[in-house]
Amino acid sequence: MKNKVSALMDGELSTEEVANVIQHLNKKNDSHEDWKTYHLIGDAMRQSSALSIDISRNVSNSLVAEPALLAPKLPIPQKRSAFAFSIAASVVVIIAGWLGLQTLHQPSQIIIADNNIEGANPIIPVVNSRSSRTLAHPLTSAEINDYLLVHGEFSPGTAMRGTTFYVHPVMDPQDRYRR
Amino acid sequence: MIRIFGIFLHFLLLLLLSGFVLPSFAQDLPNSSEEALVWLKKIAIAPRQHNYLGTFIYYADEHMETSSIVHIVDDKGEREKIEVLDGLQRIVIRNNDEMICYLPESKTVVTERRWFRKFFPDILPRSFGDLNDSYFVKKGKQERVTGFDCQVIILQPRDSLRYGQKIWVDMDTGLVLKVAVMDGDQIIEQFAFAQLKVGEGIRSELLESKYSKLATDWRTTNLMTSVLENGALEWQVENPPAGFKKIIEMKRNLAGRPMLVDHIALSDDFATVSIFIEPILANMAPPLSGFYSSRGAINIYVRIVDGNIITTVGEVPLETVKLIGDSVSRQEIKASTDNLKH
Repeated sequence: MKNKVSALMDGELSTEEVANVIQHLNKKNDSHEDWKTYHLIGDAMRQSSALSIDISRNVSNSLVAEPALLAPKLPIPQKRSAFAFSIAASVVVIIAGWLGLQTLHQPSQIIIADNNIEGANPIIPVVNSRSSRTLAHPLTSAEINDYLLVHGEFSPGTAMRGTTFYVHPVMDPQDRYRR
Repeated sequence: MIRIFGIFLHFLLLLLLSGFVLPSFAQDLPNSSEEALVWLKKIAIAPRQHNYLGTFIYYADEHMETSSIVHIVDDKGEREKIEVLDGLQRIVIRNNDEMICYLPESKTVVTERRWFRKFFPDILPRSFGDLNDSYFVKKGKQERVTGFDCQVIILQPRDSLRYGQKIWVDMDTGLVLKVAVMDGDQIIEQFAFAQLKVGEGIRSELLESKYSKLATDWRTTNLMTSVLENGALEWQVENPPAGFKKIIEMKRNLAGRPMLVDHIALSDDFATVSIFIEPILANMAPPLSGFYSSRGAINIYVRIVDGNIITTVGEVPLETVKLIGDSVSRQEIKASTDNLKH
């Protein structure tokens, strides 16, 4: 399973295998640890300034340690109510903010910053909402070749990078830099 | 609960500060060295002044490709032939701005007019006056490449929206003998001469290709463009990332497309990004939105907006193709298109 987890991170699994491994990850705690460890190794190899530190456990522990208030609710001054987000929302903002801090202009920001990318997982074909007649599919090398050929006008190297440009979907933008 | 609000406010404060402080770190690099900028000018004019003949290697993602090049400047202008020696045959013949690409395996000929930039080692765009806004250009060491003494010129990006460049320049002629595209300290792709002859004695017969006669009945694709005035396209780029400016907008034909495709190109005076916009046709299977990567420095980002496919392609980090792709939106048509011209 360790190999499968590693292959999943590298985007080398088929659609069916991806579903199986993710299902396994959800069930098995040790696979979860593998997942975190591989990301940490990947970050270390890239000498990333933002190592994959798992802060979820610390946040959970902090929330558990937070004493429950059993006293009658005190009236909250109007000024403070502007900040009265739910704990969950605050934590999300803090996590996103913290990651934003650590990864300013780093590729990982792409996914974190935009959860509204249509078809966020480019591996699994989805039905296009505007055209129910056809299924969306991952971009193929043949489709991108024409674009890359004409883009070569503006790029001194593109025409020499090969007639057939091999494209592959990037599941995790950090994957792009895991060389 | 109050403690959590306290922590949150601290983070908020930190975030606000970071918004101002961190980008300013990226701007702390000094102005580019005048001497290094003079070297860039020498690089830009060198291919217009020298004849050369050699073999160069492209290396990326553990893939290597060797090509031969013949480049002649004479009273007929600037002509060259590039032949890819590994894998599938590809021969590019360039006669000033006209390019013919022969693909013998598929018996295909592609013709194109190139005005912006040519091939390695002619790597600089026509204009690079604002290069200092995006890159800190400095002189590096002197090193030998293929037996030539070279001056290293480094283009260090001022932010992480673009890759760095390390350029080895022949000290005598100004010809670029090696280029490494850098992501931090990591080399993403490289071009380098393995063998090179510069100067007189390079015969113009070497520019000829046997395929110019053999290919008379091959399938020919003439890549044509209709360059439009600024803002004429229905789709426009609003607030592109720092340093990137629109250099051209046009409609163009592409092989297999029944209609013209919108093409906008942006540049930071070194890196270029192309945006293609085309409608999803009836019964056409649209590509999945998301990120794709190709060999070397190329990154690709696909969006589907209002039944249109927006494909952003460039030798820039994924984040940059996303920022540029997301900055494209539909405008009211401001002007009619020109006629197609080759």
